[in-house]
Amino acid sequence: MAVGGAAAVRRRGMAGRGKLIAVVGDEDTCTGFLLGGVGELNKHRRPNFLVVEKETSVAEIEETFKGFLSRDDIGIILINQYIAEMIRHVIDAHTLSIPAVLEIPSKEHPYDAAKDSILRRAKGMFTTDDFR
Amino acid sequence: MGEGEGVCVQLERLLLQYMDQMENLNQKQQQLNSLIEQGWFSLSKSRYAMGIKWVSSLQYGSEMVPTVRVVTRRTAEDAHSFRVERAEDGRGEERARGGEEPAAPEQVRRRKPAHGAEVDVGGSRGEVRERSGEQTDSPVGRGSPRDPLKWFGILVPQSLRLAQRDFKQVVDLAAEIASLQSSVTCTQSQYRALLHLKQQLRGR
Repeated sequence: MAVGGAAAVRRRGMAGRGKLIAVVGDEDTCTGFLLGGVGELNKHRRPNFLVVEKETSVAEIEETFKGFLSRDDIGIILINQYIAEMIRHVIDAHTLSIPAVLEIPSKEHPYDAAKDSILRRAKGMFTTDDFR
Repeated sequence: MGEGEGVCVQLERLLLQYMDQMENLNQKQQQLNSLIEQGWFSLSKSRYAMGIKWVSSLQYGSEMVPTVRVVTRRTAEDAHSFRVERAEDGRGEERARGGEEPAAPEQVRRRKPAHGAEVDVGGSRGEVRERSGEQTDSPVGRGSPRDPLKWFGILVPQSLRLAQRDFKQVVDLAAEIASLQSSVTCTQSQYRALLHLKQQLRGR
């Protein structure tokens, strides 16, 4: 009973802490979400966001994104869809629920549902044979 | 009703559930897109009012403490639900991190101790900490430097406040979309498993 109680307290503590929201996006997207209060610089001065500029290489984006995927304190990763397109293979390979990857539009590139990983997975779900 | 028929009924139920979830996901995604657009528009207006340099990544604070976190929970259907939790003005975070506690002016100003048990000036540290914890609910600590708005100045234009409000709503919506995505994925895998079972039954 006592062990169960201690476990419940521990669980509550972890739930109370919550997870972070990471952002990979252009300057305005990151500025907006940081204004919304998602930004964190941890004790190692590692941010939970990446401002993608013209000079940012795809390798850097991929490395940062993989870093976010491997961090257990991140619950959601928000990424501009045009940046997601650059590292599509990494996003497609990620099938876990946590962290959830959400593709969002950017100022220059409107959201296209046909490119979204989740919706593309849904597209290939049904065949006419299944409805027999 | 045979086993095969039961599976077919379940498949139909899952298919309808899946369609509902996809419709809901689509609606939320559209809401998120329009809210983000509003947020960008407000950011652009504040950039126009303040100057191009004043609303950029150069202004980000050197210290950042998140005021928003997501709490995840596993649902009965084996999906994950995401709920946004806010630590207003970062005060909750401060406590959670065991950082510097906010000053408790009550401790300094109290010259005449109150009656009874509260008179205990030399009370234990735990009690003092408890009192300072209560203090955080008072409006004294409002306008904390943890508020990201302060990175952009003390008197920021209304449009920047609007942008902040919009992006806070976007964060809430993002958590809802993440929950929906998880449910959709879960329904997909349940559907596939049942379909496999149906094919096995048909093959017999």
